[in-house]
Amino acid sequence: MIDFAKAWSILTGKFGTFMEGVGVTLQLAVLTVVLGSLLGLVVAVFRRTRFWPLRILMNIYVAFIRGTPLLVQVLIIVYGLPQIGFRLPRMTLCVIALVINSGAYMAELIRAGLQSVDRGQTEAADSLGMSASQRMLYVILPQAIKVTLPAAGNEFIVIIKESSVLYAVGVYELTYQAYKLASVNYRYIETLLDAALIYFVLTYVMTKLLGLLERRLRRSEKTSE
Amino acid sequence: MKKPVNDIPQTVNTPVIDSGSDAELLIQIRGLHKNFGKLEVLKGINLNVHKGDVLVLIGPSGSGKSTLLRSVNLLEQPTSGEIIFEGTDVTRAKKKELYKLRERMGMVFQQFNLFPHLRVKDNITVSPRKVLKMAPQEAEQKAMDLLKRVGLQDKWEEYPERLSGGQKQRVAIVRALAMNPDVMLFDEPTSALDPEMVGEVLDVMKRLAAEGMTMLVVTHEMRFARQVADYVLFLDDGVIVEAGKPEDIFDHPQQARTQDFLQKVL
Repeated sequence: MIDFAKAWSILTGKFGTFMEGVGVTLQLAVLTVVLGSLLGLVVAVFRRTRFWPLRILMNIYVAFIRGTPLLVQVLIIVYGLPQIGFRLPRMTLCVIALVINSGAYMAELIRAGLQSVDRGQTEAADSLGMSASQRMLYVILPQAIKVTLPAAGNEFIVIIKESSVLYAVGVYELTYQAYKLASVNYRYIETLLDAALIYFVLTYVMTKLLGLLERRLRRSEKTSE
Repeated sequence: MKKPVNDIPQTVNTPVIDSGSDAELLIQIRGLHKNFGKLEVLKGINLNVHKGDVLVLIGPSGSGKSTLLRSVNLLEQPTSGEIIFEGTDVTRAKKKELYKLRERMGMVFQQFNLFPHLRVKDNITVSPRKVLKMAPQEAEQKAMDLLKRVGLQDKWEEYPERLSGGQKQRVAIVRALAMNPDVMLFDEPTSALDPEMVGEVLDVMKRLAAEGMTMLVVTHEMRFARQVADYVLFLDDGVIVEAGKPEDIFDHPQQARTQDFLQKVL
């Protein structure tokens, strides 16, 4: 039987431990979504260059990341990189792994955003004497980002959940903390349900906040002061 | 892509269309061909544009008039031929040269193509600021002056979405004018407008023409063509079939194809 009273007392009794895990999880998620978006942006723009080797390289990167499990990517980066001489803190390696992973997905989202910008925008920018980079910077990208933003928020939520695979490499994020607690108190189902509840609250609140942000964004486009 | 002109059958037999103005030459188009795959859209265009010319291009859809216009600022890369604008062949310009050339050619599109993420003031000033490196204050001053001339100064802070079609197109004209172009290219500027808004856009264009702006206009507005054009060019099937003063073209068309077309649209 699931002892819900016990689950509650574990949650309240070890709240600090859980929150430490939440802190690490959120830190990972924020770093990953920010750096991953930047990486995705660069990759998405490079995928449109005329310089085909770069384009192919970026396509390979995206295809490879999307076609392999996150856990394998994490293990390669976290254990593999130090083996070949990149001795970085464990946490840094984890961020690198998540950013490389998220960058590929963000690149796809941003590409879709770039493609959604009407061809006439390119022509208008060209007709005004803008260079290709000015056109991208002042005309295409701002519109693409606006389109991509909701998806980027979604990606943030995905990372909150997926960062739990880092449990496998011993980073003290939420899943790891919960599992550690459970392996001491032998209350696996109660303790891990607590962790699940916390994940759910995090993602649910984030979803609501993003919805709010999105609505505000849409409104700012339509009104003017 | 850029073949030497000599590769193609030279069109020595087609005369160079010229308004006969004695103002200096701004654009010389010679032997201009454009293919889309197997489809030959322009079949050897020869055209002079003098400073201050208002040339109106008419013709059935698919005749190549828009393609001709879009070739001038190289939104379409011609298959062969040359377009000399202020001494430089646009079709052979290097990237940076091309950007410079385009600064001096304003273009107005059928679909307006305003930047939806920018307010009216930023739509107008972004290129003067970023491309011409104009000081923000100067750019805004100029933008405001131009906007007043089209009666839209109160839309300064608005986003394009909140403007009517006619207002959008007037802003688009101002945006092009803010670059101080030597020539304005109009690609069916009133075709996407509700009928009651056509007049306000044509009025702005008439005033521009009266002020001496060099203009190339693709349009279906025959009344406008008759009133404003110095020279009317009738295109069909990729060639300039007939060209002349508006009264000649509209009242005494010589070619059967011109007569046929005008009969349908007038």
